[in-house]
Amino acid sequence: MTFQEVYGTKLRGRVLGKLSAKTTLGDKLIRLYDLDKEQHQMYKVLENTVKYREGKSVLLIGPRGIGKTTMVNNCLLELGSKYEGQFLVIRISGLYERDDKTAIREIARQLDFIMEEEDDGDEENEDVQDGFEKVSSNATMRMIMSLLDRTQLNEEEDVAGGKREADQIPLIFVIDEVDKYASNSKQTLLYNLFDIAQASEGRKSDNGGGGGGGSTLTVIGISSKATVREQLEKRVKSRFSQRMIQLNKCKTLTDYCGAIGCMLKLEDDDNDDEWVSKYNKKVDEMINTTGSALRKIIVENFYTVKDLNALKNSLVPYMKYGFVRGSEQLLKSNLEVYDDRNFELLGSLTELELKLLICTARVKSRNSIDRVNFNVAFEEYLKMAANETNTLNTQLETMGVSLRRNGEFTGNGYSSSRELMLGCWERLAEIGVMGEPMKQINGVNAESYTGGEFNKMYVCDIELNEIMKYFREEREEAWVEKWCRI
Amino acid sequence: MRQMKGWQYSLEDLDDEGSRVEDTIGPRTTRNTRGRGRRSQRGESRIILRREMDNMEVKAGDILLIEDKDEDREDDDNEQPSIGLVKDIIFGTDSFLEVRVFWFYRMSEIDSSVLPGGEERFTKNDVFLSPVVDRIMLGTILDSCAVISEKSLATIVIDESTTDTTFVCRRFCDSDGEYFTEAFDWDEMYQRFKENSDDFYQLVKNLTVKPTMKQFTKTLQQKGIDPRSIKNEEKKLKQKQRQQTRKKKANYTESEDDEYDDDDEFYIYDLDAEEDDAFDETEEGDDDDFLYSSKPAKGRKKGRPRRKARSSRRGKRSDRLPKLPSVARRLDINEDGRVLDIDAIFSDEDSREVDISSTKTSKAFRRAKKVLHTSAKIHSLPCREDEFHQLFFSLESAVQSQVGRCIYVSGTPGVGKTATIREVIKQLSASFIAETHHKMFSYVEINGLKVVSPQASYEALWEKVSGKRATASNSLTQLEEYFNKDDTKRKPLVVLLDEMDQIVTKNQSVMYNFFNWPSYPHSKLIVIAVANTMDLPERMLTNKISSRLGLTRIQFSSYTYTQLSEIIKSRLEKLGRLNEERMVISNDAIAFASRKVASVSGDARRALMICIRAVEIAEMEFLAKPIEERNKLDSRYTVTIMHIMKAVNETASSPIANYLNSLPFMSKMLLAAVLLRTKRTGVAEVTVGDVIDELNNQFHVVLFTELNRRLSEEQLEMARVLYESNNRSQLRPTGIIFILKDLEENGILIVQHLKLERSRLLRLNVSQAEILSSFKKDSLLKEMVQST
Repeated sequence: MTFQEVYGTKLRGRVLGKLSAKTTLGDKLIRLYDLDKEQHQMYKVLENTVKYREGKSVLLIGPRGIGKTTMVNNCLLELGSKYEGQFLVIRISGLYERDDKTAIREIARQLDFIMEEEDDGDEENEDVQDGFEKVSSNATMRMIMSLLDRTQLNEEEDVAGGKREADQIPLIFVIDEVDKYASNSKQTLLYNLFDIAQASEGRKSDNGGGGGGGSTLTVIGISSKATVREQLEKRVKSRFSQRMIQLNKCKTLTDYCGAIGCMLKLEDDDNDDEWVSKYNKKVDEMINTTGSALRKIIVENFYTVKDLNALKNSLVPYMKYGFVRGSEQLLKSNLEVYDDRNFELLGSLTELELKLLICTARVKSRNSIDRVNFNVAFEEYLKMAANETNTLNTQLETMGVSLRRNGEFTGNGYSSSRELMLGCWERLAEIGVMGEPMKQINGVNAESYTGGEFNKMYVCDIELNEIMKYFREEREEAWVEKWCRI
Repeated sequence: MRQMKGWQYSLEDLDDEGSRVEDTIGPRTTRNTRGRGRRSQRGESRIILRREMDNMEVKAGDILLIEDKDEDREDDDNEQPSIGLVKDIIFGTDSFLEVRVFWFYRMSEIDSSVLPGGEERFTKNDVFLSPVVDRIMLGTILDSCAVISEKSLATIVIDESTTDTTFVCRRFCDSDGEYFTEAFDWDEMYQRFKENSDDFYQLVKNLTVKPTMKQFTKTLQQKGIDPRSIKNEEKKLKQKQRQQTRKKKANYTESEDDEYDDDDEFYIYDLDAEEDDAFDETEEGDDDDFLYSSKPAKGRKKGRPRRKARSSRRGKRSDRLPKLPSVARRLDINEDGRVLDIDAIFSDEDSREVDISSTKTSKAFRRAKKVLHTSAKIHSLPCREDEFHQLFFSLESAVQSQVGRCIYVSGTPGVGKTATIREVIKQLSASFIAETHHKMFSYVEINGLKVVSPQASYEALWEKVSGKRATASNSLTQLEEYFNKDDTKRKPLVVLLDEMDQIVTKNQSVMYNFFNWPSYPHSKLIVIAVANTMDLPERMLTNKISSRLGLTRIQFSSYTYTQLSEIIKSRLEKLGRLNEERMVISNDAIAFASRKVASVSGDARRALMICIRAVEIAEMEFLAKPIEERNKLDSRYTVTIMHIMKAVNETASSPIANYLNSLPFMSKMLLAAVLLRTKRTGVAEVTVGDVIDELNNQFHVVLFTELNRRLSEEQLEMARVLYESNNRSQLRPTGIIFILKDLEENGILIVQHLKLERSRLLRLNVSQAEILSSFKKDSLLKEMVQST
């Protein structure tokens, strides 16, 4: 068997599976390159929560796609295998639960769900379970607080000397996009969670008395904002454990190559040891030889966007079809996805539209104003069109031909009608190369303008020199450059 | 007094059984007999109660069916009455006569899985005596019944008519109904009870103590500590404390004594607290009666513990809250949640990894972390004595004079506002109980950040006042009515309004109400408002509210560095005794940490967190050392100034610098372009179009020698890398819009949300200096930095 065959039959599936796996699903361990230290830190915090009942609040920050959620998932998986059934995980995301109220409701819902599962086959508890989620958010909040928060000095309990609660199961809160909850001034959710987390330690030593007895809580806030701690309100900040774990993009090219290698290489398997190591060697070779197509793409990516996910996606077709055959044309950098939409649009404009756009840009740059309406642009167009006709005429006249019909110059012979150009104008606005400026009156958007289409002001989103440059390189249309010249 | 309605009592002299002193209860006579009764109850005479209705007699040693009186459980009709053995009947303090009973557990109350020998060996009429003594109300007595031994069970038949009144007792069980003694003969036991009920109580108590406890006592003995002596010592301490309580002056020294006392518990007595309780109970039984009433103040377990255990199954309202499942932990925690042996827990995992001496050290680390943690139980609040006294006396006078009043407390986060107030409340309530044997005021806490909306605080208050739940608007009207009504029986209510600024609404009605009610003549409402800023009333509240707030304002200033180090030291003192000096935080280190924090915020929480983190760092460092070296250190380790420094840096260092360093070249260039533009125009906000133009210019003008060199090593050209994708040259640098978004999401830039790209405004969200200092380290940007 050749390597080619083995790759085609056995390895390819695994490689592609690795490349296209959903990393945030959290159902299996995903190797992260060079984040062992951070992962260990995170794991220790979580383990302490389960083992010693130490409540902590941790912020995990890092740019998108670096593996924050994956790392937490890895830790939870590891923890789950070691301490199965000894902790509960509650996940909320700032993107789904937009404000504190919905987040609290979601917590209640998840707790209900867990309790329902617990209850199966346990008739005794049937009538106890009222559920956390209530109709009013006030009641839901109270329900949750009464469950989690035992910090308040409660007189009744004191007097009745209530028996200590049984050891409650530790809870781990994973909050994605935590910065969304830190954006307004009243950060109820974070305040409460941090408060409970910081109060939940040391309850073993707490011998009855007032406080204590709540459940242990660890909060992991995941955010891509490096400034999230500064966003916290001062009271919330004071309750936060000050523990931050930061993940960062690779600083050097060697590290970056290592990360890609980690992404592509397969782990050793019992069966195909020989082939796997052969494959890994080949990948290493490709990544580390200067001048190879893969290496070039990596370097380009490294100096521009440094985005591993983009690279991963662009490698899929190559690993599927091109890897064995060595056909490198499939190996394209996917950087064009970051290209500017406006320039793609330029290529699709009709000649009249393009002319009108150029005229708009001309008016804009000549008069150094940023808002242009149709009337002004059309005037400019007429002028340009007349100019063009004139030049053409002179050229023709030197050749002895005349465009003048019956010796009379029509003036705007090649220009199109106003109505036609208005149609083009509308289309330009529609496809987005021109846009309405945001008019704000006392901070409120005022969009109701009733002055008719040709008086409406627009902002042109493309500069004159950009149009010129685009057409110089894309197409050989000489008139564009002429029109663009002021 | 009311509860005596329908009952008569008589005194029976034990020496002379025949002579009975009959007395019909009347309000006057009882008062007269009271003193006599208290003195005479021990030994010479016993009280017999007779119900007028059916002439049922109740005396010590009777077994009664007692109704479970619980207003929350009215719906539960088929509730079986509880069974109690009357220990004694005495003249009480809170009520005129006190009937104290041992509780029996019914079979139905016991979890069948814990029964010794399986369920089938017991019938449903089996009961278990528990060492729980409780006072009962006369009104709850239903009927008498009989408890028989196993032997006599063979002679009689329990049929339909007797099934509710005849029970079999084979074993005792502990207060949780989870540990059972060996089988014994009830008749014999009952005889013992008749001889001396207190001794009997002791016996039951001893029998039902779990073997683990005994083991622990043994280990103590092995260590050369006589558990008995510990207890005696503790007894002395407790007595001392009691004497002080009796002085009816709750001064601060007392709380310090208290601390001593509980400190000991923390380390040694805590472990066999169950036994202690047993001891206390009898102790106090012999002691003066009113100690019974002083007890609750200390928050000790009292009453019928099983009521709780049961209701969690039945769903009593206040307990109906769903509970999270408790965990079956590997760690040995005994049933009531108390840890048997701290060491056992901590050594559990680590012992496998490291040798024993180091384990001890890491235990020391753990203990240190625990005492430093903000939630650790502390009994004194060092450096807050003045505020404590101020609060204590203003509250005391307010409660005594029974008028409403407002107190405003301000201070930055983490200076001990809430902790101090809670401590004041605790001590005040204890001192009142010691003085008058009654609870003089009720107390409720409302936290502005723990309620969803400001109006929800009405709900919380009304629930406290009435025990009922209502909607916010309903609660408001009810409260208004309640506080307007003249009710002489009403106790003063102390409300702690934490994070007050959060319940300020637009028209400030919530605040207004909370400060207006105290001014009603009959409200007896005392509001303690807590907020961060001293001048909040002037700044945020209208004059009509701030005038109602009054002038009692207490300002908690930030801790100075000496105070902070005193706080840390006072917490570490707890550690000293058992620590054997394995883990020491050097004085320098403490001073350094306190100075660091005091210079910024004076936040005690922050200072403690830094210390914990330093301990963690030191622990990691210690564990990373090879074993030989650890041994050389004699498993001693000092947390030095270096560790604190590391911890401080960790909390203070901003993640931004790190993030900036890891940015790709293009992102850095974009930031550089923003810097250049802002410098040139002098305006902080620049448009995206400007930045793109600036970037284009820079790429054409500046040489970027280092980048060129590196790229040519990779056989690439700079212009192609930056402007080309798929062999097509682009007008703008590759991925510039993506980079903009990325920077925005990471909080470096703030970008205006606009459909148009070029005219979006953007602004830096971090300081320019921070960006510059990061760029100076980057060799690729050498040329750029020079020009900026």
